[in-house]
Amino acid sequence: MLSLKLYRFLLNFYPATFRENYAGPLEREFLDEYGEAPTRAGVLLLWARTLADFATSVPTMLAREFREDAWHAVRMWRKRPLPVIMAILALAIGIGANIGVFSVVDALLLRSLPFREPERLVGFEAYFPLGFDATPKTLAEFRAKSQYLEGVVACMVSEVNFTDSQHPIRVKLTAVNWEFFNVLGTRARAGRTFVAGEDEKGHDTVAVIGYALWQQMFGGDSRAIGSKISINGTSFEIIGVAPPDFDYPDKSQVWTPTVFDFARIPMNGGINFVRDLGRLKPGLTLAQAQSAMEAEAKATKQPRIWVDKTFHPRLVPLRDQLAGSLKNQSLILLGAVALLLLIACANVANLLLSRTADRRNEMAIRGALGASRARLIQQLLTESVVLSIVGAAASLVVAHWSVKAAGMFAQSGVSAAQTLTLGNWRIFAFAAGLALATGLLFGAAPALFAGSSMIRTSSQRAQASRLRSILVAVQIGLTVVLLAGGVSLGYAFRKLIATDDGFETRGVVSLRVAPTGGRYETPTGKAAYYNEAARRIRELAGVKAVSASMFLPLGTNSFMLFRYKIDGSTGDGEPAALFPVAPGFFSTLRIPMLAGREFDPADAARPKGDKPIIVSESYARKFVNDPHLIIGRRLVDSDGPTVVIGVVKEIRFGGPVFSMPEQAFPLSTNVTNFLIRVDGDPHERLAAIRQVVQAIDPAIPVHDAMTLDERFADVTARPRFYTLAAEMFGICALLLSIVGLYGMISYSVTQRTREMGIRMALGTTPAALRLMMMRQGLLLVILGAIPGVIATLFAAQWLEQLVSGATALTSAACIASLIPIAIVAALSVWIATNRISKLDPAVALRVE
Amino acid sequence: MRSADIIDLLPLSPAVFHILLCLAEGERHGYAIKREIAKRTDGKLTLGAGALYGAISKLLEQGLIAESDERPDAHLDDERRRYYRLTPLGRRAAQAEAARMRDLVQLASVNLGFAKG
Repeated sequence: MLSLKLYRFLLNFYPATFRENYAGPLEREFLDEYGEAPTRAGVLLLWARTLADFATSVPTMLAREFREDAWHAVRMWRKRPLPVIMAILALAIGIGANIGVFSVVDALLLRSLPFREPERLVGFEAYFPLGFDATPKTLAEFRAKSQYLEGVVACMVSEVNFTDSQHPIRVKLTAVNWEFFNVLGTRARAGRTFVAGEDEKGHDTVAVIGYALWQQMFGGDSRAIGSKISINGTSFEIIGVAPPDFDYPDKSQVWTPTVFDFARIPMNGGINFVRDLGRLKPGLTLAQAQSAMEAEAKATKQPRIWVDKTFHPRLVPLRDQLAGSLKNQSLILLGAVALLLLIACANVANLLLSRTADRRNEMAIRGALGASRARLIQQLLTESVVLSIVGAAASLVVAHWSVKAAGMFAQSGVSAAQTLTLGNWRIFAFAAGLALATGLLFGAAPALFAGSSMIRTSSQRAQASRLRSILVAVQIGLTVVLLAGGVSLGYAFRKLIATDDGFETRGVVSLRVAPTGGRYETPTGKAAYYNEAARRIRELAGVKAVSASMFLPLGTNSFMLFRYKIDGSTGDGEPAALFPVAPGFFSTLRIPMLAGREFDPADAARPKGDKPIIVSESYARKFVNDPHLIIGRRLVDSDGPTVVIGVVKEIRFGGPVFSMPEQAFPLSTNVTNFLIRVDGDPHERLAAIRQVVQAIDPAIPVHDAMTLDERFADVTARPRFYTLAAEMFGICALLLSIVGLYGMISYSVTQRTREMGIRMALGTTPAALRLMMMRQGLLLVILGAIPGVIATLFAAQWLEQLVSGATALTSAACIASLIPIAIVAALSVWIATNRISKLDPAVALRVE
Repeated sequence: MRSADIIDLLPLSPAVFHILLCLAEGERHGYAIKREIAKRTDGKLTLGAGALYGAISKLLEQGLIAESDERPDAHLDDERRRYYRLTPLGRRAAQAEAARMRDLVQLASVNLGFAKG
């Protein structure tokens, strides 16, 4: 009968005890009512009532049994709390670390961006579709004939001095083409965005400001719309406010509608770098667009100053461009914390497994009293789910800290829309899913053996102990991966920060000013500002040397590329990174001269054509064999010749990570990023210096005041974080797996007491028995370590993305990590088998 | 169980009270209880099988009812049926509930009077 079959199937949804006790009566009753149903309509009515009954009674019964099982579990835990506390701690660490890293992945890769269809926005890599001398006209032409873009954005970011009436601040301004907001699909929060024609002269003195700036300068007052502001001394009218989470690109706070008119806002000799972005035509995939773009790139044959084989013209989704290197780095970290969680799971499963075996008697009694295997499995699963819920709750504490820690490395540089938070539904779902999955994962192993513990056959016991051994071996393998990863990153990072950057950061402070507009727009005006500032700083107590440069060391990784030819040579010349500096730069940073001399103040007066320049040793060697021979030679660029007066060892301007060794340092007194060597407390000196510089012109904001040591810490913050994280993961993994190994060995000693007794009665000494256990334990370590080492060598390529130079060290790191694992493992086995030495064979033989 | 413990069980849910009342007249199996309750309440309270046995399992745990060993003649019986009887504790619980209701009704009649009808 179909109805009865269906009814029997539905009975399965009841919890085990209830089903076992009442399946019979329920079935009988259903048949009674079925028999009494007079018509087909009556049967339908019966089914309707039956289903309603199921819908209300099944959840009630489940909740009741879950409550009973959970209480039972808690009562059992209170008898032996230590393993449970360990398990909860393991889970809290495992799940908490995962939530922390996931919050980064979520912010960068999953959360929606403040653009319309952001997945259709693409940037360019190693290709400038508009060329280097674009105009609004060429942009319009490019868009009209583009095969793959329906909208094009060109933007140029620069830092400017921004004044409403009295407060000067330094903000990021992005000059854009007028379609910028339309192509991105972003509407103004207040006022409006740009319209056609506002990129033309006479109509272009309008600006959209960012939400944060609106709040800060105008308190969110709508009367800000229409008011005048001054940007580097040029007057603009505010026409709109961007939405709160919009700060594209590079945390911009002001947008103006003319991108190609570089002379409009005086930029104090800053670099003009136009960045292009496009919206894909509807229906086009990224791959199709990519091949259309490649064909276009080939046809245009752009000149490129620096050709690198690894850079190919490429379309990059905007989301990836915004995440940058953080994308892969956060995914790698997510992989690492997932491994950590697996180790924690294996640990908890192992603990529960031996507890299950310990509770064989309890289970056997309950079994004898009529509890079915299903009932016992339900009990164990409930126990592990409760454990993981408690673990997940505890993990929120860890997560709170791990999200904070993750914020330290992932926050800088990402846009407002990608700010890390703990409170959003995806993270919550991730945490809940993780807790449930781990609960089932480590609950499954003990549950599988619940039945076998009732039927105590030796083969099943052997099976259970084999499972425990496999779990421990897997833990050891994963530990090797994490520990070796931590060790390689540790080595690589220490090597990285020990790298000689070529200059001395200790005792040097720095600050930036950018005098623009009016009298500062002439070279003499700027030079006057520099000289006045340098004079005032020099008069302060504790100041030993003052200089300035266009790019602050450790301040940026960007530089200008120039080509110089020596004397009368032909050809394209040799490329060099160009760093204009003021007199005294090298002595302030204690950079030794290899040949020639440093700039002195008199050099500033030398006429055009006789301007002095200092080069790095690597660059000198591009032209001559001995660096001394380049002194007095002329290096010629498009501006005319310069005279080489000195050679220095190349310096790592951007910090230890990357630098181009071919460097040229022309003399400049138009630079106002100050570097000051002081004695005493650098922070006190910096505050005093800041004050006197600000006093020169109150309208010019002094910003970015930091010691060079602080800049160094900033530059190395990310690799430092990754290293710290990886080392933490490694140590946690080691601790967790050693707890696992210890638990397994000590349990196995208890299990085999009788066997030990027999062996001892036959003449084996306790020490020999312990050595036997030791061999077995270490065999497990070796069995786990082999796949672990192989996996590590495969994973090595990813380490390079976290800290450069890490890959080269992986094989050594494997060995380095195997040693502590082996020592700690041997130690834990030795302690775990301590009981054997106190074993009395006569007693041991009687153990059941 | 002391009478103080019985008070902890009160008030009984209508379904539970009806089950106890029903079993006070004699042993019955589940289906019979259900039909009897439906009859007494003019069909206003019809328990589904799940709800009925949920209540029964709880009553068994609390010791208010017990499973009966006596069964009818074999040719009338189905081994899947279970018969239940009221325990002395169950009887006292039902009495306590009835007393509670009586007090409540008295209070209501003094304060409100009864509606006509």
